[in-house]
Amino acid sequence: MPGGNAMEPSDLPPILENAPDIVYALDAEGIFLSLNLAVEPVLGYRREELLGLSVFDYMHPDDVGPLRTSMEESVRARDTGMRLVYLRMLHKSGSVRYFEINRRLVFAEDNIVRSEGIARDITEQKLEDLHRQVVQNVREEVWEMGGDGDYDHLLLAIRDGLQALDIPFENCGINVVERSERNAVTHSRTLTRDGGWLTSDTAKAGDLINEWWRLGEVVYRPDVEEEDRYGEMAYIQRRSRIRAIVDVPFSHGTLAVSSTIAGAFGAGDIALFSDLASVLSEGFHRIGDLRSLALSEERYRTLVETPDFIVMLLDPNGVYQYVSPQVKQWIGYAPEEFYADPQKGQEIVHPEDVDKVSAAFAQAAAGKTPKSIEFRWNNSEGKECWASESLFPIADAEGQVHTVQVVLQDITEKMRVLDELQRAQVQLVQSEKMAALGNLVSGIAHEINTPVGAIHSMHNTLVRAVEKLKDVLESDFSEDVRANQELQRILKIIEESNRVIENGTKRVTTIVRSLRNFARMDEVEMREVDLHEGLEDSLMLIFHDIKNRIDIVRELGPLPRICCYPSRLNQVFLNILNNAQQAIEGRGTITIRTRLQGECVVVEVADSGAGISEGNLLRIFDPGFTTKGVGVGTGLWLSICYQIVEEHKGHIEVESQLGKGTTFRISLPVDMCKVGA
Amino acid sequence: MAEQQSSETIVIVDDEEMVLTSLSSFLMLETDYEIRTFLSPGEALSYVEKETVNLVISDYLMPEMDGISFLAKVRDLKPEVPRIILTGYADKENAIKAINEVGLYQYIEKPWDNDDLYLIIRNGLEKQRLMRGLEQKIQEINKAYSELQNIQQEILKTFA
Repeated sequence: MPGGNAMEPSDLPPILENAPDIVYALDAEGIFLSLNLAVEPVLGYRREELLGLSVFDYMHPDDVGPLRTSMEESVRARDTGMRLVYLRMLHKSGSVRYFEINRRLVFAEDNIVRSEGIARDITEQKLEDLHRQVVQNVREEVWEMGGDGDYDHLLLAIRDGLQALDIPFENCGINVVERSERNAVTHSRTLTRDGGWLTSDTAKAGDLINEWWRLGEVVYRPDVEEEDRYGEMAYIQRRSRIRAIVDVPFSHGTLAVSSTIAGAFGAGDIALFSDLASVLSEGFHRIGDLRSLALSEERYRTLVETPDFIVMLLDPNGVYQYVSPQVKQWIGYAPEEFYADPQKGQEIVHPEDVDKVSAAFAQAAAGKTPKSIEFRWNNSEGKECWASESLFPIADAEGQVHTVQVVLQDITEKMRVLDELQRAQVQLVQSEKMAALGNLVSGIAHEINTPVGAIHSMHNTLVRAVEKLKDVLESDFSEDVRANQELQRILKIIEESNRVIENGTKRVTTIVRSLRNFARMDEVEMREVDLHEGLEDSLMLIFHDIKNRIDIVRELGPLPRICCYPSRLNQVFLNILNNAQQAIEGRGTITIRTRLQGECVVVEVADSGAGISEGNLLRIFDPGFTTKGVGVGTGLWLSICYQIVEEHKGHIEVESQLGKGTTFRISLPVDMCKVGA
Repeated sequence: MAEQQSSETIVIVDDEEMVLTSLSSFLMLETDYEIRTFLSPGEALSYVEKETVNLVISDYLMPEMDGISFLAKVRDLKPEVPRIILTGYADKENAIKAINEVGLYQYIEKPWDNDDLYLIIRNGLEKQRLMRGLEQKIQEINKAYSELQNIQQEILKTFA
């Protein structure tokens, strides 16, 4: 010990002698020159044990170097100011204590005489900070955990933390219990102090862990060699020399820390483990959430991106936020085109359906769920597609709609089939009707036929009788009788009557014949017929609507007999003539033209009626289309005509001018018979 | 109208009185035929059985018995009498089939034309007369033949 400058403990004033912080003086070599009494409770040594010994022998080895360096710098700079230093000292028990030290150097001439200072024990505070830091580090790792459930990096963070806190552990591990309906399986992953990894799925140890996990309490075995409460020695490798083990349960398993030192973990350590365990709970819950999120995202994605539906999300102002990519395959426009142009949807919707679509959207934007609607829109090639649309408003907690969800389904094919079905049904109903009507008509025709036959014959007989009567008058009676005015008048009346009866009978006979021809509804075979006969028969049937009102102009060309289903074509003629007649209000003309044009027979029926608007003209052959108002027409007839003409491999066309009239043109192939046969 | 010969009997059967009247009125006005009309086929059959009849006209559809069956029975009774059926449009095809099956002379379609009717009837009677004449000649030949045979027998006996 260098002489002269040594300070005796008694040198200190009483107030320093009894201060709670350590007051010290060291010589240039670091030898304790003097110490107050505070050193005794803080480091566990008696003052006399330390005086005359080097402070460096009681310091944490890691801190010796830095301290020496800092002191050398101060010496070189002849720094005599107060300096703050943090360092660790070793307690007599071997545990680490943290100190915050204010020190200064005292120089005599050019040489350092001594170092003196006050050291405050900040171990409690420091450990608390470290503890918090470790937990924080592990928590940060927890947030890095992905859905794959890999938690090795958590163990690394835990190990680093335990090392930083100088906890005398050997292994740290995470045991995860996976529950299923029947049993629980435990997966264990363990990291040793020096970085080795262990993985096990031991069933027996798993049972224990499962039990502790269920228990939910910290299970600390201070020394398994001394007391093996759970029979664990069977699973612990002898050479690992593990003695102390603690399992701390968390949401999905336990955090296990072991040590080769019996009773290694104090209450503070176990408190730390518990904090780490709750961080693990956070992490594993988060993994569970991530997994179910991924699952539901996947589920919804497949739902949203299924080829049968298009999902669109719009804000209440109609701006597109999401459009499923399949929209491209369906209508040929990509989602980006909708994002770029909020008017896109409106533009491609059929003009007649725009109001319906807008109304439904407005309803949804106002928070109501409108009924599903069906509408038409044009794809990028201009082809008309049918869609069914369901809208759902999505509102926030205050009930404010922020998104309108639109689900669209392509029903083009469905509508086509429906249309076909409708036509087929209409036709079926109509042919049933016509068959019934046919039966009725032929029944009536037959019934009328007998009396008509009798009248016809009787009338002829009457005419003959009158002739004979005249002969008798001529030859057997006198001039006086023959010149009798009354007789002449009676004869005249009889002749007049005969003329009227003759005309009437002829007409009835014609009507009966027309009815008979028309009523051949049950004819399923094709026959060769003269279309002019069919036209005349049809005209006869609507005669009551035409007479004295409409002039029938016939511009008939020579036509070959054509092969067809006569009764079905008669339906077409009757219907078109009837339409023409109905189109004419008051007086007018119906012109019937026929001609042979190439391979086709053309029949035209032109009326001088009201005409059809351009919009209606496009839909005139649609089933159910009518302008006649409810109860007047079914709107099915023209659609049936269209179909009948198609069956004959012909065409039906319509031309119309408002106020001038309408012309229906039917062309039928002459060689239909060859096609049909 | 052609000159009529001695009165021949025509039987007409129809369930419609007006048809019977119109047919018979015309025939009575224009011909000398004896006309017998019946609303019932049954009554007509007993008449045909008992009396001399030269021609039978029957309606096709009748409630008691259809015209084809009736005319078949007439054929059984008097095969040489020509039979004519009166049909409506709807029954025409059936009637034509029956003409061959039952051996009818002709059919008349309603409504009929009186001139056509007269021609058909006249030709039918003509045929009937010819058939009858032919039969008479055959009988005469047969008679002459058997007489010749008898004479031959006598001669053979005489010279035997």
